[in-house]
Amino acid sequence: MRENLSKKASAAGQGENPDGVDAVAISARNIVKTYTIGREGKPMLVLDDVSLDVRRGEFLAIIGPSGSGKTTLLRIIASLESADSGQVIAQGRPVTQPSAERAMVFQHFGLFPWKNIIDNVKFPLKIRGVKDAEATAIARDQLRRVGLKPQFEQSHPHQLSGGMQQRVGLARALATDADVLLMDEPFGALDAQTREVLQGDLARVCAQTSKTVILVTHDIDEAVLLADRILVLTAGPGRVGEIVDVDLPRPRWEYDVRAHPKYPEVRRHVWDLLRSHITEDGANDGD
Amino acid sequence: MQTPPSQAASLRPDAVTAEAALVPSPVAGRPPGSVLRASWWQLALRRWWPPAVFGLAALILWELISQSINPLLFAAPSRTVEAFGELILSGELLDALIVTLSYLVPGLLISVVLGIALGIFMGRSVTWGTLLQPYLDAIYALPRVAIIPLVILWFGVGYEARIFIIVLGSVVPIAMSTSAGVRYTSVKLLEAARSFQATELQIIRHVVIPSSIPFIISGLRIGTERALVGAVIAEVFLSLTGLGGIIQTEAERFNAPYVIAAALVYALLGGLSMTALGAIERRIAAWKAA
Amino acid sequence: MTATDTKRLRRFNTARTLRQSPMWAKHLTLGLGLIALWELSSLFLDPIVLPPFHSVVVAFFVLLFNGSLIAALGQSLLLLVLGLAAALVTGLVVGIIVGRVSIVERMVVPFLGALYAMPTIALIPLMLVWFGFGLGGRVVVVWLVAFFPMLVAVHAGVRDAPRDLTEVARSFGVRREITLLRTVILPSALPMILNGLRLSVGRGIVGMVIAEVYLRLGGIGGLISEYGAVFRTDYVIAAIASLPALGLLLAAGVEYLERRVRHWRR
Repeated sequence: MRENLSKKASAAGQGENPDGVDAVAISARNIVKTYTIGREGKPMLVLDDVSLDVRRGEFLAIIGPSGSGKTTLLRIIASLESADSGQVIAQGRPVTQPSAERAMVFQHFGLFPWKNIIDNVKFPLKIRGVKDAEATAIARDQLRRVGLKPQFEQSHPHQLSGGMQQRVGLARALATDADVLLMDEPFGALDAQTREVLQGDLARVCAQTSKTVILVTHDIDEAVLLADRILVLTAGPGRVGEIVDVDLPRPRWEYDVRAHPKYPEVRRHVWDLLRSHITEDGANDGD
Repeated sequence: MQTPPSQAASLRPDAVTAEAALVPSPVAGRPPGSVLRASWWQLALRRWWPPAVFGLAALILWELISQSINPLLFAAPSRTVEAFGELILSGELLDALIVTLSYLVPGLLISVVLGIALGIFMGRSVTWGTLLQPYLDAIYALPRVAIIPLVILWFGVGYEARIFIIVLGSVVPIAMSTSAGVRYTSVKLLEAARSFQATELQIIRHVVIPSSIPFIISGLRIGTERALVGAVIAEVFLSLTGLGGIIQTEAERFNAPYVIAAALVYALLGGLSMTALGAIERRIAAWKAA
Repeated sequence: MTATDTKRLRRFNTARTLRQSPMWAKHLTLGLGLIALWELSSLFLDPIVLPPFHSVVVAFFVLLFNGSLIAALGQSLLLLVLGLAAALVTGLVVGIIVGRVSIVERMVVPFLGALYAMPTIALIPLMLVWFGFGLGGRVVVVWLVAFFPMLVAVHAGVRDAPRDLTEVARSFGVRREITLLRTVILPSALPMILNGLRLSVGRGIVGMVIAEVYLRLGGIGGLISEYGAVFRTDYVIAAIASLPALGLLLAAGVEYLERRVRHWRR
């Protein structure tokens, strides 16, 4: 909490201070969001005054019990939804609409079933009017980077396993050359083994490309494994609970993180935070 | 991905039931064990002998009955074949077919373009879609023959009037089916496209249209069928030309074999276009999971 | 789909205009606007081409009160009911036979597809020649256009009757085909059959109008062509406007039937 406040202070000064622009990739300030269920339903507070700063090149995981609005927060950062009040600032400018500077990876992969794999990866490039040959070259590079064999280029998504589909989703996000990756429970729809393999690959890819990543997850291990810092949201309404520094050596894909002596400690700390919020608020509606 | 029938069914239950009915039932199918060693012609024989026998028997029965009463009035099959040959040899049938196609094809093309555009507009704008729906329903339910007097007053009996009759019947089902498809487009995929900063036009081109293709095709099926009916109506009620002209003129002369010969060409046109649409659908929908 | 999704969708799709008012107000605005446009453009056009809206309304009430509309509706309705009843009965009988006797099914199904794709309307002149220009011929026309949707629906419904339920019935000693039909097959085929009937009603109206206009005789179709011949466009439009009423009436009839039959079903 303290760290969050201090960060906010530094972010507040960034408008005048060019160094601030370098340090902070994205910041969200005082985000408030309510949903109204049905036409005349009572408005439900989902996010209550949430602020955060994401440093350039940092891997931030957002974790929270269901109903904490973690996905909503990410969608507001992506501008897929608008906040009732508060602001998202990227590169020193307020964010008002989705941008290719922030590439999204979806839990449901979001691949177009009628496009083959390479065309799916080329999609954001074609949208921006990149020439076909160039787009193909970029797409090939990214597919190779995420470990997808070239023979699948002409396949359609339904012919691929879930893990492979999410590799394509990741390649598509990387193809945009965005500085920021927004990932909404990207491995949530995958089985446990596949998830573990993809987590390792994601760690490697992120280290190689030095992207700024915001990852929403409900999986504590995933958060500890991948993140530099973990933002723990409280439930119903979501507030910033604590920001946990994950003080484990990098690059993490080169050793068995779970075997590191500090790992259980960090994990238990995050779990304790989460558990206290879950019991505090009792039953939560799913988000 | 998505399967259109649930929406398309309300639009056109007959299409669904018809297709369902045309799939050979398990009862009618061969016991699986017996298939193993049969060659293709044995399979074809086993499948096609019943309809062949039935068709032949029906023809013979018809021939006998009509011969015994009045072969010309009741279009004995032999006379019909004769009439068909005669119409072909004299070139009359081909000429009539060309005349019919000369407004059937443009009319259908106009309907397709207008219908898809209108459908996308109505599907993307919930307000306009809801507002326009009752008017489309009314046009769809209105028998076109009923407005023939109005069409004559507005467009005369020439080419424009025929095009109007065809478009009026075909544009609505295409638009309704397309807008159903557009509304069925996955919100998740729309969002994925939007997250990459796609514009509305890019979203329509890359997401909305491809995902609506099955619906558009099912709209085209009804649209084509109604275009054919429109052509007949225009030819019989507006001015006696084309295939409908043959039908009406020969019916007035009680020349039933010629009427049936011309009607068969219409049936052929219908069958051909349905087969073509089926082929297009299979090609385009290759991305769908089996 | 959650409320959030619908909300999102709405924001995605809604045209910015007319956004705040309730839907009925928008419908009213559009309807009145169209009527106003109609009135306005009729000022500049020959009433033969486009009579003003109000004179169509007047024409409608004239037709209603001088009894000719009621008489015409009665004639059309009689024609429709006879034709549809014939289609329903023949469709049921043939559909059940085709659906239950596998050899017949194998013989007939390939032709069903072809017959279904055939524009039956092309045969209407012939039907009238064959069966006469009287009520009989017209009933045959309505039957012809309504029969195939009925047949296809009955066949599909009967064929797809759940096998396990027929087996249950058999295991309880139901031997006779007619009992099986009554207890299991027809009830489960009912939704499809009613669907087919609805479709047949729509087509039947088309067939009815064609027969009437073609013969320039009787019913709403006769009324339309009668006034069309003397260029009373306002009366033509008024007569056309009564067709939806006929459709609604018959739809209500089908619904009534549905309730009755569903009652019997339980």
